[in-house]
Amino acid sequence: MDRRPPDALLLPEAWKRGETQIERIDSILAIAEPLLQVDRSKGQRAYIRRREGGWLFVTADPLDTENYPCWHSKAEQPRYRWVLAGDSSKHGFLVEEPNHA
Amino acid sequence: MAATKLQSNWSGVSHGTTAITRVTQVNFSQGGSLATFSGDGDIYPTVVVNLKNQPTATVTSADTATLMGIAPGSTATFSATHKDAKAATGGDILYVLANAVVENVQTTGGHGQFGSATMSLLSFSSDGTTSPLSFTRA
Repeated sequence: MDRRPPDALLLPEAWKRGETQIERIDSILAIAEPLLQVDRSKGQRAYIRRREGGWLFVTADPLDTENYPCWHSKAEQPRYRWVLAGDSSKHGFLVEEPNHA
Repeated sequence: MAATKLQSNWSGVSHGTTAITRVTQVNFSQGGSLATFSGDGDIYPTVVVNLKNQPTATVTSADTATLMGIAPGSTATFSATHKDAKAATGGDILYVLANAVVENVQTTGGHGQFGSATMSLLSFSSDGTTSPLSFTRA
């Protein structure tokens, strides 16, 4: 059982709600930012990226990547250990300290 | 004031540490493309699939000196905030294009008109899987 907050999220794109772009973004941020413990008062944000297969990859750093970069010795290996959250989403925990891509 | 759900004008436009002001136009593209397959006796494609995406961005500014000072090939994070039409709190959208490589910068100006410059950027994914284009509420 992980007690620390996840470092990344994979959320179903179907969870988006609203008719405008800002509404859809807000509907995802409303879920993601509390889980990632993003503190907007400190200038933090959750950044959303579209992913194949109908998923959204969400982290607090827009430079985060799902896998190690292609020039890394662990290229193509995931940077996160993914845990099913029980609600169709996945919570990712960094397998080691982030190495920015 | 509630967000208007309309975006108008750009702010906070930058490429790395270079702030870009006097911005008149910003474009972000997911850069999607489709591959089609047909074979044997097919007359029409039997498969159409999105195999590749190459997110891009362009920015146009009247600050020609700043944009023309950026060399093609320069790589940095490009970001821009699309403002709420009435500057309502919580209505701004922040776009971030990671690993944005400057493809070209060009400038133009007509007689009796303000000059402008346009910079185009292509981005790459560090891992080949993660989209370099992300967005959030500013």
